[in-house]
Formats: sequence, structure tokens, C-alpha cells
Amino acid sequence: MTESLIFFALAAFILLGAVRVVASRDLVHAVLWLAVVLVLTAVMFLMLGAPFLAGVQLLLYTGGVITLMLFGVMLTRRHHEIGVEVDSSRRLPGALGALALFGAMACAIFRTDLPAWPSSAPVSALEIGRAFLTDHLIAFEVLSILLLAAMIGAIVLGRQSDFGDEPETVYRKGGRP
Amino acid sequence: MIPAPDLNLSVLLPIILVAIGSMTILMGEVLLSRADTVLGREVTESFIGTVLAGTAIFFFALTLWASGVAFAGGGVQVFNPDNPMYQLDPFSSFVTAVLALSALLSCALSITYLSELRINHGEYYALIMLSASGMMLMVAAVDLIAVFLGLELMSIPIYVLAGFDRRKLRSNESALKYFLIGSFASAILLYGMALLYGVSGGTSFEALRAGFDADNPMALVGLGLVVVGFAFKISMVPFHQWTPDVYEGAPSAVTAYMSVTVKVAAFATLIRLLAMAFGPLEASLETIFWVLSALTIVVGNIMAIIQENVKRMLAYSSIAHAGYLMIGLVTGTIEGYSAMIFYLIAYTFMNLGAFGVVVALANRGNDCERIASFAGLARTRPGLAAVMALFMLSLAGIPGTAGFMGKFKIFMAAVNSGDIWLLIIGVLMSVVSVYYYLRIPVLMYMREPEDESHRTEIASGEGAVLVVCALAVLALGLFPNRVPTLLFGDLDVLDWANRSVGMFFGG
Repeated sequence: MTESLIFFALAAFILLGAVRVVASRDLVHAVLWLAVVLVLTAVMFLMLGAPFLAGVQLLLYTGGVITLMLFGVMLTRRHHEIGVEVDSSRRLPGALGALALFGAMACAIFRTDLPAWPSSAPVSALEIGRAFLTDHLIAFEVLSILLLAAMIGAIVLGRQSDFGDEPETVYRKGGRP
Repeated sequence: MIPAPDLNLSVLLPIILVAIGSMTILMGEVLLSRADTVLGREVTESFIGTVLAGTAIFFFALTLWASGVAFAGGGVQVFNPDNPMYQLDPFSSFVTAVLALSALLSCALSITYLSELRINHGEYYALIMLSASGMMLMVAAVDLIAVFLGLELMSIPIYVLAGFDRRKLRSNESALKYFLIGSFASAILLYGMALLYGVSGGTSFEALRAGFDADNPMALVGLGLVVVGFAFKISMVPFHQWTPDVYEGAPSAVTAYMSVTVKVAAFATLIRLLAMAFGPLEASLETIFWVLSALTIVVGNIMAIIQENVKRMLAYSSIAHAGYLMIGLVTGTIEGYSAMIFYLIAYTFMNLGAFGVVVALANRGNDCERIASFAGLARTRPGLAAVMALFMLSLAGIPGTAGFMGKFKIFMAAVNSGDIWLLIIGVLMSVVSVYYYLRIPVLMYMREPEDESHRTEIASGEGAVLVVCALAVLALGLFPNRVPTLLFGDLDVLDWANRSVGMFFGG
């Protein structure tokens, strides 16, 4: 009973935070609301018996991603003057559509008799590590390639040299153009 | 001490080859830019780009060979018997071979185009190879996790490639649009996968099949969301709005690559998912596919008529072709699936060829985009005009070309499973499509040339790709069951398509 109370309270706050993320006019506020959502999701993981995932969620998302996003916003000049335009004429139809979809899916989920999966004991980091190197080895390896691809992509999109107007670069001694 | 799992590394050979190729290219670019003393010549950007493109082509050729050998050997091998996420079988090796071939052709097509834009960087080929490795993982995946990872590994490099010409605003717009819509689609797909996992308690196709119950509303919602996620990738109506903008804004060589390979990979994965994880289609799902297929055919063809831009017109035409391909999904028979595979091969050659002509006409990075600018091309560039006319005839489905043979097979499958109305819609809309496809040959052969600044000479890479595509379109259209080649004897492509999907039906 207490558990479901905590769950619904958490879920309500996560939803509220998520709405604030997309509805905030100020980018910094949006990022901070996102941090709230991510921390509460970590709590959700804890409740589901996945302490390791909760830790990873806190470290990676709140510690890493949010900090990077804040830096990104702060370093972008005059971010407070930009004022994100969030109002639009399609707000009402959009909300109605989302509600209809939510209703349909909630209806489908409530009408389903879910099989009673045995509630598992908290999964230790040791087991997760073992799974990475045995059963999920291929996923683990592919993820590293995926990260490489994302990194190359970010470098390509962030490169300045394409904007020069000088003739073709010729590399001479020591690889310096 | 963890017991070492019994791994079968050789199964991963195609992906490993492609991934190694991409890293070779990344390292090679650094090494080559310092190699002027060793090589004894000036090292220019375009020289490096050409060498790296050659490297990419070499590795794709190796992959093509490896998957061809695996296909000839037949049999099913899994990577890890304890948890088979990846499976090498006739279907995956055949589709992998098709993907490797089209990626190879795209690389050859890009060299001169990129050099003229002065963006012939090694990263381009590295990204192409990384995305190809994602596609190859996806088509061989027998687990939802591997499907999702493959899909992301395929998509992320393509988002970047769409914006590779960073000086052009439209290229940036194209990349951003594709990225936003693509991530949205991935999220929907992932949600669907989560629901399916909740119903069946496993992510492998085997577990899904065991736990899937068509009377279970949540399972149906999950399957529906997964299909919607893929529908974005194959630009099925009503999830197609991004397609024309992205195809138009991206550099033409990138459009050529992604319009072909993404479609092949996504359709192949969908076939495997539906055949292996969900068994024969339920009647309700068949109805949904029926409606989506009809909508996609109609909207794609109608919208293509009013386009004045070649790339947008080809984008809507690719939507229409996705609709024809979906007829195969509606039938759900071995005949329908093998017709889809054959159609995908035909589509690969004719679409790559059509975009290849657009690439070959681009002058110093100014794409030849207006349909009107094709006027009188037969006078100024007779060779290009001839192959373009051939590709347009094939896309329209005129007998004697690969496009006709593909449509014929798909429509036959529809008739044999009783979908007469779908056949009627398909044939009627094919007739409509003749109008907009034939506009280009008519302009090329019956109008006077305008003052257009087309490129006046063709690069050897582009020429080779166009010749290969044109010959393939003719050969697949005239004798699909014995394509003559000098090196390998006659190839029976129809039989290959049958054999590749046969494994889903216990063949």
C-alpha cells in the first residue's frame, strides 16, 4: 500500500516535471526541470530493485548530461534573451490527440491480465557485468561502435574548417595544412 | 571466474569487416595527411578522399564476398547459443550482400560529387560504413535489443550525413528534421518493445512468439507501436512528411545512399520480425497493413505529380514504392515476402541509378534539381539522358525493366492471396505514375536545351555506377532467373529471393 502511494506520488511529480520541461520559456529552467525528472526516475529504479541502474542514472544523466546541457546553455551567448516560443495555435488539438492516445493505451493496458512475473531480488553490479560479457556481449560491443559513430558525427557537425573560402587544403610536412 | 561463453565469432564477419573498414578509414585519413614525404607527391584533400573511398569500396567488396559465401553455404548459425541475439542465415546473408553492394555503389558515386563541394573528407566514408554495419546487425537480429541497437547505429550516422554539407542551410535543416523525427520514431519503437517485453517476459523473437497472444490488447498495442516506429523509417503514409524535405536538403549522394539502403534494411527487419516473432499475421493487423499500403500508394503517387524538384519527386516516388512493397506484408505468404525481396533489389538499382544521374549532373555542388532543367539533355548529354530514361521507365514499371518484374511479382502475390482491390489500386496508381516519370524523358528528348550549367564530363566512378545500375535494371527485367554475368555464370535472382525467405516457412 505504501509502496503504491509512493509510486503514484513519484509518477505524478515525474509527469509534472516532464510537462514543465517542454513548457518552460527559459532554457535553463527547462534543463533544471529535466534534472528533476531524471533524479526521480532514478528513485523509480531504486523502488524496482535496480540500485545499480539508479546509480548509473544519477551519475550519467544528472551528473553528466545535465551538467553538459547547462554548460551548453550558459555558453550560448545571450540565452536569456532568446525566449523559447512555446505557445502555438496547435496546442489544443495536440493536447486532445495526446489525451486520446493516452486513453486508448491506458485502456488497453488495464484490460490486459498481465502474467505475474516473480519479483526479482535486487540485481547486483556483478551480475550486470557478467551479463555484459556473456549473454549481451554483442550488444555491449555494438554500443561502443554506436558511441564512436555519435562522436565522429558530433566532430563532423562541429568542425569549422568547411566554412573557409580558400582553395583546396594541401597537406605538407608534418600534416599541417 | 566467469565461464567463457561458447562464441561463434566467424558469424559476425560481415559486421566486423565493415567496422574495421570504418576505423581503417579514420586512421588512414590521419596517416595520409602526413605522408607527403613517403609518397613523394603533394597530398591534397581530394586525393585523400579518393584513396579512402577506395578503401571503403574494398571493404564493402570483401563484405559482399563474405556474405555471398555464407549465403551459398546456407544453414543457420548463431553468435552465442546461450542467448542468440544475432543469427547468420540465408535471409540475413542475402540482405547483407544487397546492402554491401548498394553501399559500395554509393561510395563510388560520391567521390567526385564531394570533391566538387570540397567536402570529400574521410569521415563521410567512415559514417557510411558505420551506418551500414548497423543495418547489417539489424537485418540479422533475432532479439529486440539487437534490432534497436542496429536501428540506432544505422540512423545516427545518417542524421549526420544528411547535414554533411554544412555551408548549405537546407542541408542543416534536413539533418535537424531527420534527427528530431528519427529520435521520436525511435522512442515510439522502444515503447512498443517495452510493452512486448512486459507481455512475453523476454526480448528474443523466440520468447515473443511463445508469449504473443493476439487477444491480448497490450501485445497488440506493443506490436502497433513497433510497426509505427518502422513506418517512420520506411516513410509509410501518414508517417512520411519528413521524407521530401530530408531528401531534398541532403547532399544528393547521401540521398542516393539513404533512400535505398534504409528502405532495404527496415523492410527486411520488418519481414523477419513479423515472420519469426509474430507468426502468421492476425486478421486485424492485416487490415491495418492493407489500409496503410493503399494510403501510401495513393498519396505517394498523387503528391509526386505536382513536384517541380527532381529530388522531391523521387522522394514521393520512393514513398509510393514503399506502398507497393507493403503489399507483400499484407499477403504474409512466402510468395509475397520473396516478391518484396526481389522488388527491393530492383528498387535499389533503379533508384540508385536515378539519383546517380542527378549526382552526375551537379555542377560544382549546384544540384540539378528543377525538373525543367532536364530539357534537351539528350542533345547535350546523350549518354546520361539515355540511362535516366531507362531508370524512369523502370520506376514507372514499363515491361522489360526490373521495375516491371518487381511489380508483377508483388501483384501476383496479392492476387494469389485474394487481395484484388489492392491489386486494382496498385495498377491504377502505376498508370498515374507513368505521367510524372515520363515527364523527364519527354523533356530530355523533345525540348530544346535551356541555359543550364550541367557538368560537362562524367567521372569514372559515376560512370561505372550508372552502367552497373542500367545493366542490372535491364537484366533483372528481361531474365530475372538467369542474369548473365561474365565471371559467375548465370545468376538466378528469383530463386535467391525465394531461398532467402524460405527459411521462415520451414524451407
